[in-house]
Amino acid sequence: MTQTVGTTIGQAVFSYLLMAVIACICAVIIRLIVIVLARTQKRAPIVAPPLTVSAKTAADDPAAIAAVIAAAVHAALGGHRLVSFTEALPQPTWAHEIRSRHHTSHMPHR
Amino acid sequence: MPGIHILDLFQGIATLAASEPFIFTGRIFLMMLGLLLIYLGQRGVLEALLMIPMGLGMATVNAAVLFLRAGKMGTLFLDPLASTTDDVVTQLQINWLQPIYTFAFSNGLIACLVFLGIGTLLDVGYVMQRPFRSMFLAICGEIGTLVAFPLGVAMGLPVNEAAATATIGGADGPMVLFASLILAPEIFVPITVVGYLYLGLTYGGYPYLIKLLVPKKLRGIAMPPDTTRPISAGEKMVFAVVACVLLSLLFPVAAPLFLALFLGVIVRESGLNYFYDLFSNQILYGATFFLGLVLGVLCEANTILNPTVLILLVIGIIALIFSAIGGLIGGYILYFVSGGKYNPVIGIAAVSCVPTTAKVAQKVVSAANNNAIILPHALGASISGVITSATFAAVLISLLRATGG
Repeated sequence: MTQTVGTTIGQAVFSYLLMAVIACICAVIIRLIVIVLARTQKRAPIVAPPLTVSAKTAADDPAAIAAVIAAAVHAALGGHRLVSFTEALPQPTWAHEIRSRHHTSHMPHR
Repeated sequence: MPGIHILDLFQGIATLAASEPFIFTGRIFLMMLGLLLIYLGQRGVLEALLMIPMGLGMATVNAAVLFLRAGKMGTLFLDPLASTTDDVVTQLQINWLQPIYTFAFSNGLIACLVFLGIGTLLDVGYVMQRPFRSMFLAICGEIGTLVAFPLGVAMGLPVNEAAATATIGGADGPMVLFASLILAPEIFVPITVVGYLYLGLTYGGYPYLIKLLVPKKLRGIAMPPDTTRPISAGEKMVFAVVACVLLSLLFPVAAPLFLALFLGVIVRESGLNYFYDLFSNQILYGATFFLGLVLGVLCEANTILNPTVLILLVIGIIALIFSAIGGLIGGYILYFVSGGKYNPVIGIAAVSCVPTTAKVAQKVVSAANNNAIILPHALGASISGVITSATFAAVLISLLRATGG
């Protein structure tokens, strides 16, 4: 089917705007889902157990620990630069696996 | 031996000698192009997983043309022009790749399988943590399709072929295949091949475009740490179910793609590990392999060489360049709105092609500032790009069907 460029521009703009509106509705739905489900999933705050302090001096060698962690990361992911070592928090662990997959997905010969 | 011509023994050369100059040149060119694709795939310039089977298929099929019945030239790989039931059944018994083409390629199954596999790799939590910014960037990243569609008509393509080619701007291979199968089945092979070739180039070409359009100072902006809470698997599943049903309700013509994509997301989040392993490994990589191989085999000179290919090459590259520029403009808008805290390079990730463009963005940003981590934001934009490019393709298909295009 042949048609004029003017008509096609009109169709292209209409399609683009419709796609944009639907994308915005998607974003609103996502926000609503997150807000509504967050309210239903509220839990009682977790109280930390009292700390027990050892009388012994901790035998800790940060340099050795850092080397072991760097070696483990290199073995698992290849030559990536370590940006920082921080205490493991429970919040971001849900994304660790997929981040690792994204990092290594262009290494087909591994 | 008397009575046997030497070329009767070597039919690949005989068919080459018997071809018209245009086809002769085309076969030699496509053989060389196939070898080049293998080389570039192996070197990592193009996507190796796709380009190596595609390149070898392309080179081999153009070498392996032989004389069939009644002096007709053809191959023993597949015949995409078989249309009647009798023809198709006959070819199914002769050509070794015909079953894959007939039962998985020409009906869009392989595109859906790739999408299913991609779905298992998508962590929609990245989008759900920042839906408005991600969707805004994804909308900007569709500008290439907006520009390429009327441009294709201006360059002489029929409206359906122009729309199918414009979907290359969405930078989503399975989407391009699916849209062109529905909108322009007569030229879906060149459209898809051009689309995949250019998508392979994004990994090598986009960093130059980013460096051209974003100064180093802005490329190195470190995003502030996320303060958003983690998204649970249940929330992601609710989103996937709602989005899948809603989008399918709006655009039934693209429902197979929506179902495949969101089914992959749900498999990932549901904890069904056997399904997850199957779809994210064997199915995804198996489908990608056969997609590349069949695309390569479809590049036989007699099938693919026609004057519209040059137009497709021009429109395809324009679509991808404009989508990248659109994404970066979106990144700049967020940069100014946030008072200079948002890294504009994240915008390039909105050009779908998940997760390639997100990794390109992180790579370029890391080169400017080693401590800047933008990958979560980039993945959010990239995943949103998949949703918007599927939606845009669905809108175009529905619109052209409604208007008789």
